[in-house]
Amino acid sequence: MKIKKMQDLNKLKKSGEQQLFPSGIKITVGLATCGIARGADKVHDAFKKELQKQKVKATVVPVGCSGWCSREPIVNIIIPRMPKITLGDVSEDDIPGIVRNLKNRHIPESKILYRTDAEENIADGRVRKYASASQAATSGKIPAYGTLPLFKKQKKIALRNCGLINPADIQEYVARGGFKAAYSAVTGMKPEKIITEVQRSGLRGRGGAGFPVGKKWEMARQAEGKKKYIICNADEGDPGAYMDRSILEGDPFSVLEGMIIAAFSIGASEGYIYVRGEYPLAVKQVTKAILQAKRSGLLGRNMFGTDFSFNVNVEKGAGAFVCGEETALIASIEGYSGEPVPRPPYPVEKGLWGLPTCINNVETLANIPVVLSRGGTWFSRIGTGKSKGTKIFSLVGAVERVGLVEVPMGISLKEIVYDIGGGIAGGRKLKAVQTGGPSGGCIPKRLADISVDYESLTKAGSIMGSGGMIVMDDRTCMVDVAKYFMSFLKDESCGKCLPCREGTQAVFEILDRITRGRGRTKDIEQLKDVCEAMSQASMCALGKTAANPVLSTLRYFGKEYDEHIKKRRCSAGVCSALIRFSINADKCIGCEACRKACPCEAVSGKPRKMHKISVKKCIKCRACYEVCPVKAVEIR
Amino acid sequence: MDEGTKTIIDKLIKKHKPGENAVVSIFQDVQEQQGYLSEDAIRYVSEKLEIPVSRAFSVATFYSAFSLTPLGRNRVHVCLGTACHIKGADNIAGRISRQLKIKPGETTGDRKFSLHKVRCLGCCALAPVVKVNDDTYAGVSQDQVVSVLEKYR
Amino acid sequence: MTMCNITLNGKKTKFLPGKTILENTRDHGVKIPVLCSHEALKPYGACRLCIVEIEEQGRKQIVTSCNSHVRDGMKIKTHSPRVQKIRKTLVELLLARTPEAAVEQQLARDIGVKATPYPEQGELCIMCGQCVRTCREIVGACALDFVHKGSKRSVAVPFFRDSKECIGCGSCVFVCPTGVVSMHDEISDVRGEPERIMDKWETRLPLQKCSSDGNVFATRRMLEHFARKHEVSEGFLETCSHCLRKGNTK
Repeated sequence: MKIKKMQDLNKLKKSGEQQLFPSGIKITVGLATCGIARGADKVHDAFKKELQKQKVKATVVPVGCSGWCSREPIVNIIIPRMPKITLGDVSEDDIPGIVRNLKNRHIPESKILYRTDAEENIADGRVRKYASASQAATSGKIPAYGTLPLFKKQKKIALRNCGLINPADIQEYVARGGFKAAYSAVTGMKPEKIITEVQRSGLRGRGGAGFPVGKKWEMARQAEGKKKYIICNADEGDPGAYMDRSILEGDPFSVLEGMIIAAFSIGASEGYIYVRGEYPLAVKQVTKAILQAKRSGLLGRNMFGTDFSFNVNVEKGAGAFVCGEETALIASIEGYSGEPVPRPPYPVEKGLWGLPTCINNVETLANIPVVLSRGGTWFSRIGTGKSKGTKIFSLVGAVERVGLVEVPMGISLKEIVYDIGGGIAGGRKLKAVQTGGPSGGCIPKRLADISVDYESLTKAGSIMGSGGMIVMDDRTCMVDVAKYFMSFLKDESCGKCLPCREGTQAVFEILDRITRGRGRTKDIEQLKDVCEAMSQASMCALGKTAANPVLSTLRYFGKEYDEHIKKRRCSAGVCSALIRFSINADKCIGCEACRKACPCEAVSGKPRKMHKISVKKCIKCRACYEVCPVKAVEIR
Repeated sequence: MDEGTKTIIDKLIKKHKPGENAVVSIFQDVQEQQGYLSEDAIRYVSEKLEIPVSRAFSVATFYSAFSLTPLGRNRVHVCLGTACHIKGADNIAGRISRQLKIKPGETTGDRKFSLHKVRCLGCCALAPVVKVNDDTYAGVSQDQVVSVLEKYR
Repeated sequence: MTMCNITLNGKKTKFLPGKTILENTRDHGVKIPVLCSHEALKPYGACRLCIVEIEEQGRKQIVTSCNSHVRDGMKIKTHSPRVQKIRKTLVELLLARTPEAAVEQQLARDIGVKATPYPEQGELCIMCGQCVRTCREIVGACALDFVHKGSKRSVAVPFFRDSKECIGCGSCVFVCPTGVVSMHDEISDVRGEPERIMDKWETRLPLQKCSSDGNVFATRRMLEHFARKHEVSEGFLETCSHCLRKGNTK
């Protein structure tokens, strides 16, 4: 059926709602990449098999990622008139037991993470109840969704449907209010009016630089060209960030709807989604979504019975970080090596095949339908003065609860790390938080009160970036972190312009020297000189921001550089040339774990006797350190 | 060039609609189906798409998804994302390297394995991550990685 | 054409609006160092040595002069302390890459850099890309391109040898500022015929002997290339231009 009128959309919504809230039992399994890596696909298949075997009637539906990545595989069980129950760390072996209990509408408690009594649909502000208040009260022992520290401070706009709907079913997206904004926009709004609304929302680009979205659309609208393009930048290259993958895998229609609205506003007739090749599942889901949308008339000619036509193609990246840069991305779609070209002209004036092209990031586009359905003013009430709305962060590294979190701008870094993330894992101490990937920096613990918004992060020498948030504890060496990013950048620079190509190489070599204990005092000055040249004279943003990881660590962890250079020491115990492994005689229990783990026979010792590490043979691979059950292996 | 490769490429060109911009997509498919981009394949694609061989070669060397030499039957990818890095990904890569006796970017003599460093698989919550072909291994230790490799021998 | 009012290094002057800052300053006799720019080629903006500081409506910015156009009221400083400092670092970085390149050494002397503080790499090519762009934009043979990326980037013919597209015209040799691109003619050991060898591209091309005076005058592929692209007089493929002009054809 092709959607032409509001009634058609409502019909689709109805059938979608029946799927979201069926009359029978429903089981959903989070089948995004992280879940699958933890065996969620096996859990999904086991449910199907076991339900059949035990003759229990229930539907099993794949959904996207719900964000609590450390507890994957995650399963939701929806029994009519009962709170929705979310289970974590579910394994294949658990399934027969879970299914057996389902017959009695019972869920074994051991794997329960939380319950959901009601859900707000942010797209229309309406609340849908799973259970009545009395039913909810009876499940008092199980924590409710909103009371968990992980979720309490979150506000999900871009991630509104992830983990809730089947990403491969357009009806479920429509049931959550999907395509209503696109319908209203295309059938009843003037493009200028939409752009004004987006400007009013204060929404800024979520890909890194934070350029105002409404402004970009306005420029693209005003640009002249016989054809215009809209590109969704899904070349999520920042190491440590995976929100765009999660959205594309869990809610691809939200991005498509955002693209439709953008295309209509700027006057584009064709769109591209440029997805990283390293994300095969995202490519698959978004390709499926496009097909379904086309079948329903939500892409293609004369959409909603108007004369607006729009189509979307998927382009798969071939492995080049620099292609996240707009002009390099365009070169890549055109079939060239991903080399940036000088701007101006900007892509909004002269982009793909020389025509006006508006490039927006995945998360940005996923926000658009809500901005329109709830209004720009509503959106602008969330966040800070200049940073509106929410931002998704991948909270990873040395934090207790790793996962994907969406928080209002202006929340403090501390709240994210401690309240949401549950603090540092293993009782260690926070050292720094890295944001913004290779273009960002490391924010030290003493600035943990910093407000997370575009301006504050930039002021602190980092950037918002695409949302990677890597928490580092006291075992992380900041010189090593800077070297890590520079090693990344020297390989991923396209190599076209001198400051970036030679600068990243020179900085890497200096840092490498320092981490090997061959640093010199004047190295710091040289690092600063090259960093200045890179940031001032590079052609594109990759080179212009390449200095940030070095400058921010120099600024906050200068002592650590000094220690490496002057004392030839790495107190974090990371730089292998500067450390030694030894076994503490008082702690060693002679369990032989280290001896067995050592790949180069550097550990000697008899069972139940103290072991020793030969400094000569040791290659400092840390294998012994990792396996010792009593922490007797020490690094000095 | 063997007719098989020619037929594969002809099919791919049809699928992607011939146009000079299709070079990246066609190379991706050739890489996937043949395990590498041979000189013949690069020359043939450039001829069919009417683009200079120099440009096709530039594209083939620029993107890290492409290899100019045949890869092993099992492709081991060690994620070097930031989260994986601070959780010891370098040591994991080192262990695999010693185990297979090849450096990253190389293929074992028996063509069973090739080792690659990848810039972030986007599974940062599961760090450190190793991917063998389509299977992702989460939170691997140096010891585990050795037994994982054994499964593919 | 209305000229733009410009303040160049503190002095009021007028610039041609259709031209780049670099072209205009050159016309005014102000020398800005540059390595990747060539009058015959489109601006490329890769060496970044031609950076200047511009000020418009109180906003200061560093831009490359080779690909920035002038606007009325622009204040341009070609040698401000900030520009000089960055330029010095860039030259030092390049000197580390190609310590032996004469053009680079000269540039270093010009701006007072004695030695590079950065680790030397001993490369010969400065990556200005003039050979690639000349081959593509002027000759139209498209035999060269950049390969790999980042610090591994270099210039090469496909598969690094035996180019089937190189016509042996020698334009790349002519534009190369470092001399790393070279060629020579010799008699082939195998066939005993005269050949042109493009050294860096590891490509050998047969040379054509003039049908009239018997002298070797161009590679066959080059003659065929031009015959395909342009209308040529009769005998162009066999006779050198010298003899053609004299009407000596056989």
